[in-house]
Amino acid sequence: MKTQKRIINQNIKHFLGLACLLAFTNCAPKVQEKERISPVVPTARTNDTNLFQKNKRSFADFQHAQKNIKNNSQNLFTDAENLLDISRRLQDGLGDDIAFSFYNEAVSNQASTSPANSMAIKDTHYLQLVHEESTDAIQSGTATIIETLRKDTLTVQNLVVAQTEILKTVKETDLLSKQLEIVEKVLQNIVTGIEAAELFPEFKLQLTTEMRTQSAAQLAGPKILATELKTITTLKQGIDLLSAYVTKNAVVLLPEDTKALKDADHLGQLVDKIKNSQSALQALAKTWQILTPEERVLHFKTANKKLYDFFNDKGPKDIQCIVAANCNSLITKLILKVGVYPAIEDYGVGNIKKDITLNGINSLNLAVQTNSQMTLIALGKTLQDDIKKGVETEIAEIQLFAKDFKNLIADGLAAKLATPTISRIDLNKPNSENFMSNYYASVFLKKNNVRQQFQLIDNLLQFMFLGKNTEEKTTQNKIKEILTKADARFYYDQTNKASNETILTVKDQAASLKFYTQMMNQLADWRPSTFDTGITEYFAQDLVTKYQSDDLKKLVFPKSDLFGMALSLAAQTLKQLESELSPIYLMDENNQRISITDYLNNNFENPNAVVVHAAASDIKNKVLSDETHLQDITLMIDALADFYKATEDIEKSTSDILKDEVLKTQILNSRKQVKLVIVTLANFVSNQLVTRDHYVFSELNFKTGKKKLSVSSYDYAMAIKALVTAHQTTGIDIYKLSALEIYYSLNRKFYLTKTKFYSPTIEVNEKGELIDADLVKTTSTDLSVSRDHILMMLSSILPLRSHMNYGSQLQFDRIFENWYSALLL
Amino acid sequence: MNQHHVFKISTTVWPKSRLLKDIFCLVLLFMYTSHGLAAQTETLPEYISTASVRYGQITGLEQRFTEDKSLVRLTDYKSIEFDAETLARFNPEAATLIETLNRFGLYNAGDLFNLGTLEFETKPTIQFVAPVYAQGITKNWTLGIGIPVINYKNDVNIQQSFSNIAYYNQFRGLSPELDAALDTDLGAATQNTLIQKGYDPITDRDESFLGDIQMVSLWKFYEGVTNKSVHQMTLNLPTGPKYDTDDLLALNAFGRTYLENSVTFSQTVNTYLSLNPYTNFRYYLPEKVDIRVPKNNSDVLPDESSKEKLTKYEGYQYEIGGQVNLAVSDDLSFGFDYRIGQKTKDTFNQSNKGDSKVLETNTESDWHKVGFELNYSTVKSYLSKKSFIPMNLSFLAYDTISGRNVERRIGQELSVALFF
Repeated sequence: MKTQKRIINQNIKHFLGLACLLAFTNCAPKVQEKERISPVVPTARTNDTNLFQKNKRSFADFQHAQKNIKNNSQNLFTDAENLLDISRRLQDGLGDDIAFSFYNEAVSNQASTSPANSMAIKDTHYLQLVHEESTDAIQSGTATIIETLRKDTLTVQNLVVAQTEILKTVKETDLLSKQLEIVEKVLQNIVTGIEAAELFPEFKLQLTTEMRTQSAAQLAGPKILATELKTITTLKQGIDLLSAYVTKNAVVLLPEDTKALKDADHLGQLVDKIKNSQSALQALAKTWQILTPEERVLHFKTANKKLYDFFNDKGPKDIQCIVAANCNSLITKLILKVGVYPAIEDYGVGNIKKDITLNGINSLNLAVQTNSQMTLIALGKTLQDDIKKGVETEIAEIQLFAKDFKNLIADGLAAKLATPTISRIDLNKPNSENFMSNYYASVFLKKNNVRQQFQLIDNLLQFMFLGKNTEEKTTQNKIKEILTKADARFYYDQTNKASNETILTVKDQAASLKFYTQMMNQLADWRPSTFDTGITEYFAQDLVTKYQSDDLKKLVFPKSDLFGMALSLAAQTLKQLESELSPIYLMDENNQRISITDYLNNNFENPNAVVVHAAASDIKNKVLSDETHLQDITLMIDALADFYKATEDIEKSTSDILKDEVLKTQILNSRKQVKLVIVTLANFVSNQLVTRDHYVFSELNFKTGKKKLSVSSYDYAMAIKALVTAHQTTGIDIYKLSALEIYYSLNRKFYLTKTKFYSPTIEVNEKGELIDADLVKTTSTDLSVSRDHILMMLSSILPLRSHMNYGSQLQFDRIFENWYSALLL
Repeated sequence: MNQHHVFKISTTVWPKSRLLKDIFCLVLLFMYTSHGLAAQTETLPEYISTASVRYGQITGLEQRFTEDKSLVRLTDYKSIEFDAETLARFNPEAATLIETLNRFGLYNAGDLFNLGTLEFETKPTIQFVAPVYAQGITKNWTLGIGIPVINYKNDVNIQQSFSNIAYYNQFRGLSPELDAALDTDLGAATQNTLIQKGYDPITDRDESFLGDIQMVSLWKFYEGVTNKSVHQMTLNLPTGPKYDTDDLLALNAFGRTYLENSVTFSQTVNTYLSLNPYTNFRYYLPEKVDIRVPKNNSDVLPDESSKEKLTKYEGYQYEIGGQVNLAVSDDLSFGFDYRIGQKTKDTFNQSNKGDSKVLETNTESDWHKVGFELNYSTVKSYLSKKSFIPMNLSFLAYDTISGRNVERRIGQELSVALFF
């Protein structure tokens, strides 16, 4: 028993020990694990309306849509743009051609209502800019070239003087061939000397080429003459050679030389006719006529004293009658027969012919050599004069080119554009209309439409003069200066010229920025565009065919320079937005307006204010209007977003404006500022211009603090457009959420089952609440929907589609497809 | 981490049921930081001395029983969620940013902004070595002294999680302030804030120091055939580190002066089993402490300027408990202990710089603790000459199984005692 008890006790002890251990282990408390939930983020507050449930026949089928589209568009330009936008967004290209046809129709309508006021190409602003840009360079280049040419001319002249010194040693008795050898060597030395001298290369080349050519040409004739003169046997042959030379080389003879040549020719003829004493006497008489008294003594008196006396006693008439063989005087005839003829026969008719021929040829050679020698002596001076004259002629040409460059370019351009004129901007139209019609022209610009390209480029500059800088006194002829200024440019309303009011509208400023930005897109030199071909390929040499120069191998419309021009003008508009007269302003949390300049200078009442909203208002006589409108803000957001996008990768541009690091930094910084302005404007729209249920206010009056609830679906479309644009530009989701919820409220209130599209307007009840479009009682049976309205709504909502949930996408597609399809037919 | 009571200190030890073992149990008396299963039932014989070394560690200090008695990790309990409200409270600039974001649309984007939760993952571990010396003065009176040396380790990991910063990245580039807010490293920011406010940075700890020396008097005032009663008085001397208001990771449990009285009744049921109910009461002497006084409940990190010397009146602490001892053989025994205790609220004198009432918040506490011991003794075999030396070797484990406003402590310790 004791043993059993011990065993039991032992077991109990072990059990208790184990129990203690288990109890200890099991008593261990459990740690409560804290459940972590990720914090929430902003999400939509409202849901889309289920249009499928609203009415079984909510959505238009194709026939309904086609039947009820009303094509009386108010603005074909916007129709064209909206359709092109949809087409490009869908990447189907289906609407492209129709969009272009809308645009063309709009342009022709515009042309028929307001015929364009034209201006000559040479008077265009761009040509003025080319002139301004080139004048200094041309003037400076011209002056340098002229100065160099004159200096070089002097060098060459000195060289000529030195080298032609040897020509003074040439004698008149030196044979012509010898004289020619000497002169050829001299000319060669001059050319060699010119080549060795440090001269303006083109001048040197031209001069040496000219001298070589001219030397060869000028010496060729005399060389032949010299050779041929050695072969003549009669005086007549010599005279004929000389006459032929004179004629061939167009040698200008003095009257006495002409007479001498004529006399010599006559003599030659007479000599050739010598057959008897009578004809010999004729030749002798002619010889007598030709010779000077001293020569008569030399040649006649020493040879035949009687003959000398005979002629010497005769007067000129008698001599002439002998020459002409028509002396009728009996005495003379008697004398001739008795005294002279026998003497001639004594001397010998053949000898006389021989003497006269020999002396005549000698005299001819001597005359040629003397003439040549005299020419050679004067050659140095002649060369100098010729060179100087040639240079002066060249200088005159250069000066003429410099003076006439603009016209030369203008003429060439007019020929290329096949028009002598382009259009002027119609100053009677509102600025925004002018800007937007050019914007559309740029959007719908066809490739290689050089005339339109030039028109757009020049319009950029024409718009520059539409705007005013507050400090500008005169703007004409200062295009370059204005373009390079980083000053604000204001586009005051032009429509009411009679009024003294200065009106600056948000719409105008937004439109100006939109146009300039569109041109920046077209002219961005680091991206392909329709400006890659056409006028941007024109070299100055292509336009100025009259002159050939390497200096003309420059582009007249370099894309990068044109981009810089558009950028400069866009920057001036942006500068205006941060000026004291900016239509954009900031707001604190109490909607107190703060000008951007005041904000930047910390010059406002509450420095701790939370400033994240901005709006825009028109300015009349330098005073901000009390109201701000949703549509204006949308236009501004749209324009700023375009600019932001257009300047993406701007650092890749080779434009001069971006080579300046300071300017480049300013531009990149201004890009950030633009983004901030978009954010603040979008904040205002998404926070202040919508109700908690995301119904839209069309305007806010700062004076009264009242907001106007919009009853127009157009406002809803604009609000969606503003916020989607802001979302796409900034990446901030809240704008997308706001846009979606505005779209939901559009579906909730504006979708009209009867027309199967959004009603343009709805009504409000006595409490000021919006009434569902379907609930408004009407007796109208009109089911039509205007094309403007359809395009505006569809193009505004389409970018939202990808952000919708599946259900919303499905019902949007049901609305979109058939109306869009119907528009394409 | 609660800067006022990081963890509790107890000097009570595991009781022994049998006479010989009771003698050696005294070596467990100076269990600094042990779980405090105190039911001392025996004194040393006259002129008998004991020298022992106790080695142990305490973990689980990163867990705490909260006001609603749930056990949570201090990581969760002390984590700070930096939502918009908290941020705005911490930083006026943050309030502006939140207001700014609220004005984007109508979605309270600012109010929803959340930088996430800052979690302080700590792994505090205390290891101690305590030489103890005790001597029987008379048959019924023993005096002892214990000198604990503490090694305190704490691996700190600060991490930020569960933020919605990713969503708010879309706002980057709009303002430098917002960008800076989105780039906030809460850990680094907290460290910077701490440094700015004069706190020590939160870093890993590995430090050793002398703990509070304890002197104990054990008096057996009653002894019957199968039962007896013992009174134990413990005097804790403030030899350990003083209260450090600048160090958020400081244990701040040393440098105290208190007197604890315990009375244990021991009833032997049979040769193997004894039951020992007990009670104790601890009284802290008021002490002057340099402490940062919060302005209000939200002022979780009072500035340096809030430092003030206040008199702290720590709450009374009392416990009741019972032990069951089971001797498996002459050499080997098990023990199980269960106790409940309470502490009244700490109080401070009036502050001139803040609201000292805030310091008193959640300072009243209660607890339920259990303990288990395995003991091996050669005393009997020594007396029967089967062993060379009289020694006692024990292993003790304990835990707090429930409580309110008290840290959980899981302890293990090993002790070796020699008798001479």
